[in-house]
Amino acid sequence: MKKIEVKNLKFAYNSKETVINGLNFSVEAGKYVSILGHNGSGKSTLAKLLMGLLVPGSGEIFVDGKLLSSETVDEIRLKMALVFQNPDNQFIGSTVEEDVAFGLENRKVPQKEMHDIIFKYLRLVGMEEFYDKEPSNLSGGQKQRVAIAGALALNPDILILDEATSMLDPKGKREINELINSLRDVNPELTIISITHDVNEALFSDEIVLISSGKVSKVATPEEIFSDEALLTKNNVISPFVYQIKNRLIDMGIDASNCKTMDEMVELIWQSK
Amino acid sequence: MAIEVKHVSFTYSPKTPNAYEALKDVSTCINDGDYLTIVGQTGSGKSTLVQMLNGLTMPTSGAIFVDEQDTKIWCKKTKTTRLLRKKVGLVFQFPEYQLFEETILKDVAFGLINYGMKKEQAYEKAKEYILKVGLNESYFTKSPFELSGGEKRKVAIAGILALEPEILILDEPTAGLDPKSKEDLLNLITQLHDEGKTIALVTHNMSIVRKYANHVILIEKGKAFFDGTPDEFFVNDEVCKIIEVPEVIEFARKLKVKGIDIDVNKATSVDSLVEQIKLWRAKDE
Ligand SMILES: Nc1ncnc2c1ncn2[C@@H]1O[C@H](COP(=O)(O)OP(=O)(O)OP(=O)(O)O)[C@@H](O)[C@H]1O
Ligand SMILES: Nc1ncnc2c1ncn2[C@@H]1O[C@H](COP(=O)(O)OP(=O)(O)OP(=O)(O)O)[C@@H](O)[C@H]1O
Ligand SMILES: [Mg+2]
Ligand SMILES: [Mg+2]
Repeated sequence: MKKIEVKNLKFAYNSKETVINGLNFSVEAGKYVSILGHNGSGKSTLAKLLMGLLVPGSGEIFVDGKLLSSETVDEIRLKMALVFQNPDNQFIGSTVEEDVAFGLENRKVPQKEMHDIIFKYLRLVGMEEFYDKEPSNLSGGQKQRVAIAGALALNPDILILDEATSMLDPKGKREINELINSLRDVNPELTIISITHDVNEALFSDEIVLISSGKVSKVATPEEIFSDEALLTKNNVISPFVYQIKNRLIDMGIDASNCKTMDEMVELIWQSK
Repeated sequence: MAIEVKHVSFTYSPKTPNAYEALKDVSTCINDGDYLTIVGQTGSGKSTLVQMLNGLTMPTSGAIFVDEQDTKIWCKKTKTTRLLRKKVGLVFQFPEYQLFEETILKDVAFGLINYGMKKEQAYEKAKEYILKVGLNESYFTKSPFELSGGEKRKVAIAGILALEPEILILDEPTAGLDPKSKEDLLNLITQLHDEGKTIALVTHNMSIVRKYANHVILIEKGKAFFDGTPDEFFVNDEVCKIIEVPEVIEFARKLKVKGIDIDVNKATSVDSLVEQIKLWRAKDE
């Protein structure tokens, strides 16, 4: 079933230029989709349109088959959570705890359940001991962790991440990705749209939507996208390390086209002499 | 010596119940011409450290010397504070807080005009640097607040680069940049380094440490846990418990274990690794 469907979407911030230029794509329920694209290609704008925070100039967005409009936006938004690119744009509470609580209050979660939910998610992102700190006084990566906890605590059907882990260290990134995967195991319907510049992160998604100048330039599996050097160059993307090595081996006359791991490539190199 | 950090500790909200000691007795030297990378986990104290290097904040104890002079003395008078800020340029981790003018051109030129450059000349230089960070002419008259995340970062970087500081400090400058822009920025920084600038860069990206740096500091829970060269860094067992070695090293090590003749320390990038593989294949034994 289609969880999200975007049809011929157009949007402009002002009369000078359109930022989203007839964009089409859809996401099946339960899928993890990465959105890749050059700086300024319209990814964050798209995220805000999906959340109903911006109103399309023309075109349609359907969520669970229902058209997103001023009448349906409140109801549809209850199913969704967005982690903003700049976590500071998301914080409302004067402490970390209050901040996570704020989103829950909005969704009318009973007061007596709130405490447990807040601390469960703060613990999962490793920020429990910071519960009484001011969000603005946290480090960059700590802010991102709190923003992620705030979104996960809402138990959304659709989670939209806008470069949500861009300031985490590699271990922290991996932990958050594992956390999100464990949530998918619990709720197979959980649909994830992850906007990212991290190709290693995108490697683990079911599908990649490549966006260029407000249009979809390709939808395919990570394997297909990262094997197409010409497409990547055109879209300001540089492939993950394993794919870079793979392509260089092929250039050298070593047939690595079916290799997926470093170990397989090491073996091929060894045998090639 | 460009910057000397001597027994520096830093406490946020000192002498209050919220007091938090973010740095503990950190000492290091940043030499002229260094390409330093500062690494460490989330919340370890990296941003706290770099904000002291241009006198934006002062150590709670210990001292920082820039060109042999204590930042506390540099910052006693407005005039010398300004000289320090021009000598040591700092790009913040969240660059949007560095933007404030109506147009991008004005924003980048602001610092130059502030330092006494004639308007016309300042705008010329601003244009030069906006183009250098990969934005085209159509951006000159745009408002810096109507930009994407990556575009804002580029403008903030241009604003500091335009001042042509001797020491350039960048706090996670590649976060939010697309992979091509990331590579272009790193090439630009390398070019500045080749021209003689001193670079200090905060990053989580170990490939950057391997490929570009000659000096690396690992901050762990507010302390300088490691201070040395990248070659020493990536073979240090204690360090490797905290960080992840970059893929290029992981791959080079696997080749070596297999019996392929590779100098792991010289495998600093995909290019240099592939060169070595080619050499090994060409050699007859
Ligand atoms: N508030 C705004 N007003 C006018 N134009 C805007 C505004 N916000 C963004 N833009 C423009 O819209 C385009 C798309 O911006 P958007 O933030 O969606 O890009 P993005 O793909 O998220 O980029 P990044 O990877 O840098 O975050 C950019 O060219 C940007 O300059
Ligand atoms: N203004 C502040 N008030 C109180 N504590 C602060 C403040 N700024 C930072 N801290 C705390 O100091 C510690 C170090 O923060 P800092 O920003 O230096 O970390 P960092 O190494 O730059 O982390 P990141 O990689 O996440 O950016 C963190 O635990 C943070 O919560
Ligand atoms: Mg964006
Ligand atoms: Mg920081």
